[in-house]
Amino acid sequence: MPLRSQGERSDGRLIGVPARLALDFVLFASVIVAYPLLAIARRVMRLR
Amino acid sequence: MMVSAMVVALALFAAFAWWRFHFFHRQPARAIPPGDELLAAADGRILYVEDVSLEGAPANAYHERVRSTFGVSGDWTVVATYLSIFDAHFVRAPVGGTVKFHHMLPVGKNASMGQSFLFAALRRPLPVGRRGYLEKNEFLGVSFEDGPPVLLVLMADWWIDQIVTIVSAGERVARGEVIGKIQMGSQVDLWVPAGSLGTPLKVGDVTRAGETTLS
Repeated sequence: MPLRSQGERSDGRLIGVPARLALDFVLFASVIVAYPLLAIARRVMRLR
Repeated sequence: MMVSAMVVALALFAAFAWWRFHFFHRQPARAIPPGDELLAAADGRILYVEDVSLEGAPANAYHERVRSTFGVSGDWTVVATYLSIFDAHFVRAPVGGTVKFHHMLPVGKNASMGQSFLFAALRRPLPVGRRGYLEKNEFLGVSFEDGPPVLLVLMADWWIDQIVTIVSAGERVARGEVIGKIQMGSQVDLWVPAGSLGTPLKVGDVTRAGETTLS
């Protein structure tokens, strides 16, 4: 069982489904963009 | 140009929908190694491993939260695992025992764990100064009453706050059994008595819940 209902934040504020999906999309897109950049950064750090 | 931009946008939305509604919620089967070795509780990458003393004045507010939540003292080793959005988020029991839950409310509002993502992706230990969320965020503590002294801290990121327990408090679980799930970017800390880790663990190592042995 969940500790709180779906979309309810720790401050008690509820996030609607569209807002949650929008946040999830931003997170997903950011990670997709960040991973290749971080892989390059990791390679550069290993070379130095 | 316009057509290719639309194709890229559609592909991105399709990949997002697949991840959000299918891939993220997967529960991969695990071959639990026989024996009584300590198991990893979460899938992810090790963010840091450190020795912590809960005797006397704790070094920081997180250690004090753990000490007061679980009512423990003594010397411990903490293995912090960061779960990226592509890791399976089902948490498994590192040992067998009767589950006891300890719910710790946030101090103010939950803080972001974005820096954990960055350092985990770079395979670098998360510096102590960047672990402020440990002192603020809501977490679910799990202990195993009639099992070995092992503590779990399940911490979710600021904007999801959902920690789902799959088993009930007081229920007996087997070693490697699924006990809960945390949503999206998250961290699982495994606290074990100092000196009980047999496997040398390095920052950036990959762990698999219920399969990777730690002792």
